[in-house]
Amino acid sequence: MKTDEELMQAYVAGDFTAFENLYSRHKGKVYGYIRSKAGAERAEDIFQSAFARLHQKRGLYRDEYPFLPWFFTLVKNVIVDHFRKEKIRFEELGQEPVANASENSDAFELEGLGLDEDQFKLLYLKFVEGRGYKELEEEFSSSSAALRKKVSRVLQKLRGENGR
Amino acid sequence: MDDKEFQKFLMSYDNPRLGLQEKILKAEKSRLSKEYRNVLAKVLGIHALAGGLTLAACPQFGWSPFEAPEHLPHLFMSYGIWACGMFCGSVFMGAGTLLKMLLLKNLDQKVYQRKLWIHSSAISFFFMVALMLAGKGEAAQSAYLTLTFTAFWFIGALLFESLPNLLIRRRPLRL
Repeated sequence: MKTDEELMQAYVAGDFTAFENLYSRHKGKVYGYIRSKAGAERAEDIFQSAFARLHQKRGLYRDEYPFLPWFFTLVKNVIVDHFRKEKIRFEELGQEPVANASENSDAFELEGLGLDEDQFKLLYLKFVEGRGYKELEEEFSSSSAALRKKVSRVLQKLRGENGR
Repeated sequence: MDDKEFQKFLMSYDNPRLGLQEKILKAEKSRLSKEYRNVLAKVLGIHALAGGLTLAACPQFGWSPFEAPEHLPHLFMSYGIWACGMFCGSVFMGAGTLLKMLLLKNLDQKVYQRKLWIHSSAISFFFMVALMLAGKGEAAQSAYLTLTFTAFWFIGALLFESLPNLLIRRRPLRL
């Protein structure tokens, strides 16, 4: 039987059967986790987005990465994105964000370092997905220079906390 | 990574409804086929462009808009029609392969390389037939010569289409 990593390599090269195998191996975990975090009513949307994101990001997968932790990070990020969007939509409507969003937000702190959702996302996109500041401008509605400063401040904060 | 969350992820289990599963698999199949068709179209376009340029520089094909030197084809003709055919095939497809390595994204190259021999054979065959049709008036003088030229053209094309791809296969993927 092929390992997840072998299947992922084949999937990166466009093999649908490899995707089917990966999907049937991990759908239960992914759906279960999403449901536990986001609730049944949002689980289906987020579940679909997670696999669409896997397709989008598969080019970033390196052969030496263990598949499951890499995929887990991706799923987590999809959930964070979903809540971010929902929050914005609720604000636009002049309503309060749903309770689940704030209840679950602390689950996504990066290694318990006390980063808020925005800081976590910025570091994730910059250092895990390897995106450039220019690409992130639109996503964060900030200039490259401002984002650079923000990353530098967060890193300084983390260094300070680790140094203690 | 947050170990506690990861452990929770590993322990989670719930089955999505069947309709949703079918929808996801169908969507993925269509995304992959669309990408596959795009990659093949890009490869064909690149080969047509690069091959066209090599023909424009060939003094024998008759497309050359400028005075191309005649001595190179003559050098190969001195070995026989097989050497001439093989040279033509390797330059025609080799130029496209080099251009492809420069222009195609690594992800597209991985998709193309998954069935490398099938792709290389099909593309070499496609261009061989296209060139035969383009030059049928002059080439039909002798069936034996045409067959020899064509067979060695195909061998040269296949080698220079597939071997460089095999050499770059182990390159790490970057986008």
